[in-house]
Amino acid sequence: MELKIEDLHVEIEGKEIIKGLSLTIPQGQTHVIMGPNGSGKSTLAKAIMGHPHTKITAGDIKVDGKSIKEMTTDERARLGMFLQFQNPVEIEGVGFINFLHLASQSMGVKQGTTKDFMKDIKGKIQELKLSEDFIGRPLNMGFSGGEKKKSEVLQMSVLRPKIAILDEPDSGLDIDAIRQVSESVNKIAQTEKTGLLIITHYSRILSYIKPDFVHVMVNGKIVDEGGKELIEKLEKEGYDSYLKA
Amino acid sequence: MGFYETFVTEAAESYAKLPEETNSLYKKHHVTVGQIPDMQENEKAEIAAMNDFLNANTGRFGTGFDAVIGSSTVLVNNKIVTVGQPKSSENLLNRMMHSSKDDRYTAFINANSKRTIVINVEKGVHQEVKLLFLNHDQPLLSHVFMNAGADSKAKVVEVYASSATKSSTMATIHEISSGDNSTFELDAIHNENAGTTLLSFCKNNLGSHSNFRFNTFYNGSQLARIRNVINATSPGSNVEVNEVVFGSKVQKFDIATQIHNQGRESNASLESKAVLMDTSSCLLKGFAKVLKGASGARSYVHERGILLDRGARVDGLPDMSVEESNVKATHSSATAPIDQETVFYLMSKGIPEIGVKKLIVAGFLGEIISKMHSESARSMAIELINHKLETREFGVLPETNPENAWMFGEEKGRDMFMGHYKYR
Repeated sequence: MELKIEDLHVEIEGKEIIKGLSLTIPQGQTHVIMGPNGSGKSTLAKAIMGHPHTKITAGDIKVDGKSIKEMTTDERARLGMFLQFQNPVEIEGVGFINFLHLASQSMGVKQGTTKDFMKDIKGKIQELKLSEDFIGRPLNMGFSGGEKKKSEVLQMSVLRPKIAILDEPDSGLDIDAIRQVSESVNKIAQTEKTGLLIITHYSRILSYIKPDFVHVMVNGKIVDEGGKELIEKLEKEGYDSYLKA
Repeated sequence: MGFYETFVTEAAESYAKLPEETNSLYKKHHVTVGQIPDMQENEKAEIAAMNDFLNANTGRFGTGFDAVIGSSTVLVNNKIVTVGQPKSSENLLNRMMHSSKDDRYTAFINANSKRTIVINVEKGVHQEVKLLFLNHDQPLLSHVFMNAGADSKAKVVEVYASSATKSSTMATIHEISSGDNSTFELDAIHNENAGTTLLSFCKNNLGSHSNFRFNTFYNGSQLARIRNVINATSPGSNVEVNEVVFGSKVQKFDIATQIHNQGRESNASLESKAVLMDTSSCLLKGFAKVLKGASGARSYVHERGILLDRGARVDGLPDMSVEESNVKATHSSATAPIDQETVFYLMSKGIPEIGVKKLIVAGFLGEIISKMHSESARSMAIELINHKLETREFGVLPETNPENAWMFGEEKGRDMFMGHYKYR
């Protein structure tokens, strides 16, 4: 599977946020988008998944050569795309396990019996060092910042996407949690040959998840691209040189 | 004036005199009951309809119903249910219900209902009872007395359904009495068809240190007018009222429930949740009253609504009257359209929009449905929710899907006031 973004322009409430962005992410590759606050990184993630507030005014988003612009969000997900949310919404009354059961059913993931499914989830919960009561709690309600991120990674491991967009997977995590989350993401990516698009401000998580390509995004555009060496440059110099340009 | 015109007029007049109708806030929000058609009695047709219904739903309620109650017929399968003439319960009625001279609605239904259904759970006995109320083409007027003796544990499940082919009425009065240290739970699922007007009234009397939990799911009828006065009568008694409303098309619900703290150290709660589609509407008139002398009482009214369509409407009108100083009491109300960020989040995980709505609605309402002790009642409620979300229809029973039952297990061991006084 290949996700291709072609000269994309995106508006939110009449304001242009993405101003001509192109990017190709094949399955099996890890791409990172880094950039300062307000550069449009999260808007890009939402536009790829079809958030109702994002309006594509020009360009296209294609999967395996076919435009997905007219597809609903769930149809995009069922193609094999996954968005890990920066701030997952808290949903009263919807049990985490009920949600995950329905999501995996909708995605056509083989579950076996209910007992098998529960056993699988419990194993993944232990791997991520989450408490056992996690399974019975309402979705994201009262979760700590770290628990929310781990919950998203747990969902990813169950839904087995072909392309996953991770929007700030490291924010709100302590050092140990960053390592646990990274290990889980690496394991999924290796097993499923998942293509990753990681959106982050900081380089710490990239010492655990090794990117193939690094893109710098400023003011709605990709302004620089390269390999891992670009991360070191950003660590030393920050985004100032791009903002001044 | 014919029988049913008289019924409507008298009922409307007596409604107007009920305490909750004199509340100025509630008077502004009032649903009018329309004309009810004349009755054409046909006992044979009703029995045939009952048998058809039961045959079509074999197995849904395990061992079946202990009684099937129609307009002119009652099929009794368990001696715990007895049927008598209204006068046979006159003493109980007078003792429990007729302290107020204004309560003409009760008197009217009692005078005109064809018989009284009595369920008496003896002292110390644990008993579960399942009742089906089935209205055919003639109005069903029922007066139901339920009594649970001291130290007893009574669980009653009621299902309301219709086989009517034209406009009809379902009118019930419940009078519930329970002894000291008893536990009484009443779970009611209303799924009358679109031709039915539902009128329902419930009052209770509770022994000391006893518990009454009243869970109701309103899914059916074109118009429902509900009046409940649920009283934590005695010292240390607890009443917990949980209401779920799910409306579609042009359904109208006017639900006025009062909870009273009369006994010292008594607890009373009312939790109402409504989900409305299309142009359906719902009035939630929750009223908490803490009477003089009920020191140490705790009370809350909590009303919540979700609107799935622009034309739908929920008016949450919680109100409160506190006559005692040493109490904890609070009320709240909130209604909002379905949250688009929530829908996007769930759809981004591959769940189609209809599945997302099912998940949100079942989750929202499921918090109350999980309080029903009967697995078949919970399963039925979820089937009705899913069916209505898919088709917007009500009044029919969809196929049972046992796969759904595990998702909504019975809630156990929760403090009824958990989280409600966290800011106090």
